[in-house]
Amino acid sequence: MAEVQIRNVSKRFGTTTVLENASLTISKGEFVSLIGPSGCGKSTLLRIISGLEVQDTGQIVIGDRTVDDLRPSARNLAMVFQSYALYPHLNVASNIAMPLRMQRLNGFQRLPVIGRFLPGSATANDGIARQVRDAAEMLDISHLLERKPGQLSGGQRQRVAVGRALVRDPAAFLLDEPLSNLDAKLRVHMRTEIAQLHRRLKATFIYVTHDQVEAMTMSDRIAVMMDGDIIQVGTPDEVYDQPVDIRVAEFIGSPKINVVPVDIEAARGMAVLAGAASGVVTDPSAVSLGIRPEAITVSSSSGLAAGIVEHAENLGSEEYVQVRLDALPEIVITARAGHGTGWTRRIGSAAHVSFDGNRALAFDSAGRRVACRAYAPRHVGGKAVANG
Amino acid sequence: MRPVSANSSSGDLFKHAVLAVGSIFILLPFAVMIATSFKSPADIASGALRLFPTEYHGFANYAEALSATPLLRYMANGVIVTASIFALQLLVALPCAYALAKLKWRGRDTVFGLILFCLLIPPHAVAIPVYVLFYWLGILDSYTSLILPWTISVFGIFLMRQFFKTVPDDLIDAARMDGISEFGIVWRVMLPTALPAVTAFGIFSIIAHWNDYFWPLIVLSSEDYYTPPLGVATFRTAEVGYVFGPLMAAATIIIAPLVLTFLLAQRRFIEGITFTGMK
Repeated sequence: MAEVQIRNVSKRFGTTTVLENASLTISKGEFVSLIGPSGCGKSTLLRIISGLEVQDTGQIVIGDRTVDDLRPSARNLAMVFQSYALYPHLNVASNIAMPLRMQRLNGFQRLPVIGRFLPGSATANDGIARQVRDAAEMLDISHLLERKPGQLSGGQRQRVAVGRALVRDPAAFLLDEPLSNLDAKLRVHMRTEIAQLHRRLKATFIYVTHDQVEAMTMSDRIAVMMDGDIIQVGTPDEVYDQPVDIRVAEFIGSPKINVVPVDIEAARGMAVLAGAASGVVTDPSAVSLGIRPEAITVSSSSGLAAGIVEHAENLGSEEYVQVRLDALPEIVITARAGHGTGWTRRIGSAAHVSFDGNRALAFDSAGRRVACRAYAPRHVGGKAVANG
Repeated sequence: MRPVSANSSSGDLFKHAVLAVGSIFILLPFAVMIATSFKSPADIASGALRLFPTEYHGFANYAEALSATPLLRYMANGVIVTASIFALQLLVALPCAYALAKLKWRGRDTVFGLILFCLLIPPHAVAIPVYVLFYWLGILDSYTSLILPWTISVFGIFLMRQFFKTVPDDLIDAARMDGISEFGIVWRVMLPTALPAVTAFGIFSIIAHWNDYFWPLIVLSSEDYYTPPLGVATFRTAEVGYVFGPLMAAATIIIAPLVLTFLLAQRRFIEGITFTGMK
């Protein structure tokens, strides 16, 4: 395993810029997710690291070696593809063995029948067979070694694809949306397995996904990409709590963060939400506040802003309540309510929302995050301030 | 439910009736050929429409067919020529199709357009120039002259290219990551994946060149290189005159390998179709 550095990589397809000066360093043994909406360049970046695509400018460094001139196979990386990309005509054992055969046997030794009798090939073949068995055992697919990929379920194919990556003991694992073809239940299960595999192998993992839950649950660090730029790199907590940009805030977190437009009161720097002082002091350039659903309290009696419950979802462990604000009818606020609060029975009734000023995020007109804090420790809570 | 099933069964009946009439139309000449190959000259000359011979003359006809002309020699020529043509066609078509379907290069679409254009050129139109060229090269009247003009099959390139287009890019990328070279990808990944298409192309190619009468007739002068259709033709003009019994026996013999090949390929074809593992 090794460190992987992406240095100022740019890539253009025709006139469209897919990557613009992207830089990122992934430490040895780290699990980094590249996440972003489709078309943000994350897959292209992964393909550039692998060597399947060539960058226009910039360098890829693996370990202490610049690999820009090396073919994909010479970079000693392993890749797991979204469609698994198993060889349909080979059985599971041969699929897993393929990278090792290509590495250790020469062209003649790989010939069918005759190859087996050439000097050196018996030892090499034994070693390969042993490694294939070990990998199969580790992934719990030993009983499938003789089958063809067509006879396997999606989850089993996924494991074979991981096995093929595993055997070559690569400098880094590249995974390109490996779970997106699986059904929801299996996806959760494979998520755990891949995270455990990473812990066990202590290898460098670069994981591309558009699913923020996958990125949040598995990664040491997340690199959020938008429009060919890496706009934020940080731990899941940092990206979630301290997004640098409104696009990051909106992309990470489910349900999505609430964004409300605010006016700034000149005297105190107080953000004013729909005519009511919000209890948050912001930088004067702020134009909107972002508040996560779990920082919002919804109450039937009192709160910062009044509205109508438009919809409520009961997830069992919690409920999500959507409130359309009376003063800002184009805004629907999503709030997290506790278990058994019964909002699903109160759709259409009046409700009031308020929020925890300490957890608010402020953004300027360009979408960049600007400073904000809860106003005056003496006036705790939005309502007291709003009345005063 | 009842009227539906009644409807569909009468619909089935109609479909089968149409197919049966069609297949009779196509198979009848073959039946007549095989039947005639078992009949005596008197039987054939009587002109009566009978499927079964009144007098069994099969052994004599087949013996005559095999002894009057070196029929087996002609068939061996046919095997050498059609097998070489098909092998060389694959050797050319698969890498071409791979380059056209999966590699990115400047002018690819133009080249593909030109290839499609070549589909429009009938082989007969270029027969004379090719003949003259072979004359200058001094390779007329040889296996080479039978094989060489057909090694580049535009149809094969087109067919394989269309099939390769359906192979997921991920599979090729996975092969590249595993260290397989581009040519290795053609032979070790694309070829096994494309086996159904290769089989289909093989059926077309082998039938066309086994049955080809036109080109061998032009380039060959010595009987040593005669292919089966030419061989049968010599049969008709042999000194015995028109002897339909042995002639039909010879025709049956030269068609048999095609029928066998097709039946074998058909099984492979079905296997090939169930050969999915990507999705």
